[in-house]
Amino acid sequence: MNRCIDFVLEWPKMVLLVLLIVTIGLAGGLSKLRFDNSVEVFMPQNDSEYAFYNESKDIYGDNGRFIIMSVTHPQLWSTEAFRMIEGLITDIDEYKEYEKTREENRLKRLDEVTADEPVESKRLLEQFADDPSFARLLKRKIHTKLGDKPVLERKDLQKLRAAVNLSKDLKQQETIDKIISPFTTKDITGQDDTLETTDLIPKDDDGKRILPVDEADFSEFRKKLTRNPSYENGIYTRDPQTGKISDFGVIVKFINLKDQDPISREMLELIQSHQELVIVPQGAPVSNIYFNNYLRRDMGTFLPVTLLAVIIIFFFNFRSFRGIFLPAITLSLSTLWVLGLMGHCGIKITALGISLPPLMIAVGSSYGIHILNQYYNDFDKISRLGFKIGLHQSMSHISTTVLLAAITTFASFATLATSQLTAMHEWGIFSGIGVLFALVVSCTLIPAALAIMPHRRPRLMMKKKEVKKTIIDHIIELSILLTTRHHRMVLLLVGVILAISAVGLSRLNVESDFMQYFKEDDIVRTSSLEIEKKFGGRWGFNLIIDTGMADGAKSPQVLNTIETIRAWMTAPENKHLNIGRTDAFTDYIKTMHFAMNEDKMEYYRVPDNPLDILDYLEIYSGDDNDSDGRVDDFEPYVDADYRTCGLLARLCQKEDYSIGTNHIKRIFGQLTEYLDANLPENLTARITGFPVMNVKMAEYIISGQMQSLLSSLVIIAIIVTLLFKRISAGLLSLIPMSTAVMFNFGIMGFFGINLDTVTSIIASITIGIGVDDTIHFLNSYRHFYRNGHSIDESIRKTLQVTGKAIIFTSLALVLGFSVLTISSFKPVIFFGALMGITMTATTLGALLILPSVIKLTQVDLSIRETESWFWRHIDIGRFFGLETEKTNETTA
Amino acid sequence: MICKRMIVIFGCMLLLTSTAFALTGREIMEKNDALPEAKTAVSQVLMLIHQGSKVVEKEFEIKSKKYENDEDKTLITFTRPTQIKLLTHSHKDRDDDQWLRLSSGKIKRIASSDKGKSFVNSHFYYEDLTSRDIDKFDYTYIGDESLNGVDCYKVEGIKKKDRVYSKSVLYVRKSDFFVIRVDLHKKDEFHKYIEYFDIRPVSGILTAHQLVMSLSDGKGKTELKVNAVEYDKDINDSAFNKEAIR
Repeated sequence: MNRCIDFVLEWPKMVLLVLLIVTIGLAGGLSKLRFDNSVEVFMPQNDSEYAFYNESKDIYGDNGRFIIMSVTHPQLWSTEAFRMIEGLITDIDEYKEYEKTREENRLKRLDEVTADEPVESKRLLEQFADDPSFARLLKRKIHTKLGDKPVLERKDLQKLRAAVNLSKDLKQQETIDKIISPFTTKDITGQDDTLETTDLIPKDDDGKRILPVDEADFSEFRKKLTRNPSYENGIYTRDPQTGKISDFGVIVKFINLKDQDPISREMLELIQSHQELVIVPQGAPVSNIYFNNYLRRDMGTFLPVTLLAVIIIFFFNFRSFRGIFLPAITLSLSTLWVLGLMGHCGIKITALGISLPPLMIAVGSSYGIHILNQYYNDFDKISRLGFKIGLHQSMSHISTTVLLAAITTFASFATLATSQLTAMHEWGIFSGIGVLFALVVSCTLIPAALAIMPHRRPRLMMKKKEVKKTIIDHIIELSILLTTRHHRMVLLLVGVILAISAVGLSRLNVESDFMQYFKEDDIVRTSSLEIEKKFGGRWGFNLIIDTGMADGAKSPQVLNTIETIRAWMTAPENKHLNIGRTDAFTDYIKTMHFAMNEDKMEYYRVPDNPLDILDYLEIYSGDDNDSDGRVDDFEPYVDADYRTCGLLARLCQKEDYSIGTNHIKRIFGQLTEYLDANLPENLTARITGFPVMNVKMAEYIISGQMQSLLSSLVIIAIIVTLLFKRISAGLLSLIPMSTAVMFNFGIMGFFGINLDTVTSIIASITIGIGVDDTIHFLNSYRHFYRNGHSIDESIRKTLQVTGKAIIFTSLALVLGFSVLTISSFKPVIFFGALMGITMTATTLGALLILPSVIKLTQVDLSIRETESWFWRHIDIGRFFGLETEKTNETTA
Repeated sequence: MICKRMIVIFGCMLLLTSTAFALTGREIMEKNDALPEAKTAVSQVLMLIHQGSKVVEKEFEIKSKKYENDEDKTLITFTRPTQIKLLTHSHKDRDDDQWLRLSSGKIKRIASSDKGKSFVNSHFYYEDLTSRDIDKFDYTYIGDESLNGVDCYKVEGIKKKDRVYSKSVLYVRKSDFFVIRVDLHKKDEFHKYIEYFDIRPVSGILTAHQLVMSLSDGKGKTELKVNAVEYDKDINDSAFNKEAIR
């Protein structure tokens, strides 16, 4: 470390130049940062359930993630309302089937009519009055990209063309697999001895929908709609009070895409532009967009607010321009570096990842405070020894201390890299790298800047010296009093708190459902409830039934088994399963049987004769656009060999509590029990889908939590033991941190805060950062005790010397993390609040618990007189200057 | 059901050697239409549906009879994997009638609106199995093209009403006016094409023994292999009655 400081002080300008170059290089990665919170960024690729989930998606398509919306209008049964809905469906349909000639002509025409700029928006839209769908696209792009400008200048038109081109590209990708709605659904009917596939809304020869115009037409449409039982709560829903059809359901399914974000955004923008209709959009793609938007917003808010908070701390601590400027630059650079590196590496920001900037700011500010504190503490000494030598001594010492703090923090954060959850694993790696960046930047930038700045004591700081006692001094005095006179009482109180926390721990709930991230009154939560009530769920799982043989799914026995399972799932006595709606291959067979038997309701069932099923499949005559051997309509439900069947079950909140991960786990448990008892021997079943991934994620959270907690504690205990050459020191160091972690879990349990992907990293951060205070305290205490002071006196002097630095760095950390409480996400809010609490707890641990334990146990921390071979060679404490008297004094 | 289209499919045409000069699209197709036809035809057909890596086999017999009023009747009887029967009465001046008989004996009429649907999950539509009455189309000669070394007229055909395909492009062999390929367009996009292979005479009538309907994107195709064909065999009219197929 000395050599590094030598170099930095010898070549300060070059060091600053290198820092600038690295910053420019890494800053390029910021633009590549992407936000994502999909299951793909969390689940480990080698997980067997995840692999099966992906296999299922390959076979049956992505059935768990679709946009589902309820669509209605105050005058729903009017031609005007139907025309509006038709407009919505037509607009969406353009992304399903790309018509090259039409799109190219549109762009050509757009170029022509916008050749002479400026162009009035209104007139531009009028030019496309004969192409309403394209006019609507232009209108919504003018709204979203140009803020509804009345007159479009050249730049605006360029933006508009670019936006329209992007939409064209999205259309060309044909990423929409299916649109299910009353306007797109085809029904099979067998009335009047004729088997006919009809559109619920008939079409003319040119494929244009013939909308109902009078009551007779609407009545005919309602008759068609209500004829097939599978449509209710699927493509329409009734008002529970009046029993009349109140809303239409529209489901937009995508092809199996890795990145659904662009098309989901386009769809949401399109849906929201149809303001003449009352539309409630929901489904995983919609909540993901909201999620990512909130992440962006949070990130934009956190950075400046956290920076402001720590600048205030810097001001109160240093009261000088350089005291604010240098640590602020330090933490800004380390934050920028780590985010830039993430961008370059293609790491996506998740709900967990947004804790990184405040964490970096907190860690960076802590290092900055330590280094500048050292400079001002050594101010007179530097003046006395000469600027160059004095600054070198001062910076060399504090850099080794910061290095020690960084190593322990790094070690603790890095334990999360062992997590099997990909996002947490990445968080562990990048938070660790971030700590090292903060170390590098603070130990180079501040010394280099100080070396080229004039050696001057700030005026305000000089004035500050005249102030007698601050609140910090009072806190320290109180700590001295409590730990030296009432240490038993302190420890008793800690014992009581721990016992209460243990009760809270037993109530801790593990949660991994992303919906729980949103606040109760958030639009995502409220619309989700609405959709669940109307259409029996916004997401679901897939029960895969394997018949063990090709064409097994065509057997009446298998299909009847599926019907029995469906009936059990949605039976009133199984309301607690919260399964709202199920869809299966049998729906098609039942509909065909119904149609082949003159639409008599008693035939809406699986036929008894297996030959009927074979015939129905032959004559179903659906499209097979991907030529995989299955009619496209059947793809979500059977594999290409008709060996396995997928039963889709949608989850909805039927009872007065939200469905969390634990509840889903119970549902799966009961379903498995039912299947074990009732599934015929020739069939096997397996549950998969997004909810299964949630349950799996919760398991990873628990196992990862235990693993990272234990490994953090063990690593920290080993480091402290090696530093102080005393196992007792290692064990002592665990006391304040374990207490803080336990306290955190207790609070979470009592206040019903879930242990989720975000809150589960609190323990590791607490240990990683909290250990710094412990090391500072133990090092200082040993110094005073070794110099012949009594235990009480050593505690008093230690608290007087190290207490202030501990309190100030903790304040920066508490304030830094508290900023997260303004987040849009519940777990992030809790994370911020809990980090503030645990940081306060670790500070109290260092100021109260640690000295009280030392006083009670009178533990021996003295330096070993006779050193064994091991201790002589593993002397890392000497490397960090812990054994040097002078060093200890200056640490203060 | 065996009509001009099926005649094209099964190659019930005589080889003509005459060539034409400056013919219009309509004239080319009239020459094709004027080719002598068998009165009845019975064929055993193996259908191979290629879907991804999978090939599904189906077998059926196709029986057809032509009537004097230029109408025809066709009965397709599946023998594998189901026992479905499809009876078609093609009419000159109105929509064809189609009936479907399931293995259980139930009979249903197929609505004309379903002509654009896949026939037994193959790449053929019901429309592909109906008659190509030249009066129902507008034909335009669009040029000459050599197809695998065979000189052909290219004729664009657009159905006047009830269109399933927006247009079809027929490759008519110059040497004998035998159609050897048809490109089918849907919504003005090239969608699929049918090719005729193994063309040789049976009882003096030139017959394609293999035909392949392929999707334009190459993702799938359906092959028909004509294993046996007999022309002008005596078939009783009652075989084509709706009641008789029960």
